[in-house]
Amino acid sequence: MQHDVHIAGHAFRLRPVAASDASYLLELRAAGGQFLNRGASTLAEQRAWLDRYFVRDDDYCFIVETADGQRREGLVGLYDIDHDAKAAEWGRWVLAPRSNAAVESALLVYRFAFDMLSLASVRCRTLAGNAKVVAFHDSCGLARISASVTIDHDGTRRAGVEHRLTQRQWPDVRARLDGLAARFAATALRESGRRSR
Amino acid sequence: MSDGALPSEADVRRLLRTVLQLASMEDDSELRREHLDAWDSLKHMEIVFALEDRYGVRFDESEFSALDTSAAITAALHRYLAA
Repeated sequence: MQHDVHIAGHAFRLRPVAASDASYLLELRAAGGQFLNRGASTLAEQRAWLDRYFVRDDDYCFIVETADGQRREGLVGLYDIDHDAKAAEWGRWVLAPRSNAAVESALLVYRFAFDMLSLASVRCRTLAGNAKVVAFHDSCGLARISASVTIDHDGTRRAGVEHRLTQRQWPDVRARLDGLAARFAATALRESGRRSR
Repeated sequence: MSDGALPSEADVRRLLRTVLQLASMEDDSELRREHLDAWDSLKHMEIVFALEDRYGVRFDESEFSALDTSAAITAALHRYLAA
């Protein structure tokens, strides 16, 4: 959907996806690896995807970029918002190779969900084979739901893992992620200061 | 480091095993991020910061992603500590 949500973090920030990001998104997804849906394979398809996204309600896509806006780091989204249950899913998470934005981009999505939208819970579904991302959610302190889930991946149902974070658990997760993000930002700032001297 | 000695790769592997909560059995094989599911993006930051605290160095942001094996970490530490 067209939105105007900007969320500033320590070293990174989220801003709304724009039509002008189409070619970037195409390149990003092309480098994204085996766990992404095939999705758009041409610029025209990517633009068409964005056009459909812009008119979809309750679907927030963000570009992850450095805090100074100088470099795009990836994409992330919060969608399938259930206002009655105050729940949503986050995903569409694709970061540039070698990006250091994983921790803070997750933190910023959770801040949006819990602090800005006041949701009660957020879930994320990951292909079981995407072990690094499954481990990331575990490391963040999210609980795995016990039921088995399947995820549609290019038309095939594949085994998945669902994690869930609740508003009650959020403060502990926020403290953990924020501490790492703040320390990383200090590192980035130090390096930036050295470069500018 | 308190004794001024350069860390060995075994020292680095011990730190990695602690942060990643790997079984404590001793083995001499190199630890590689690509082979360890537990070495995710969050753990990677914890590893880098644990190394900085343990050895009193400050890595550049741009080299974080290259610190992805016990050998690469050991070499980077030697570079910093010998400078």
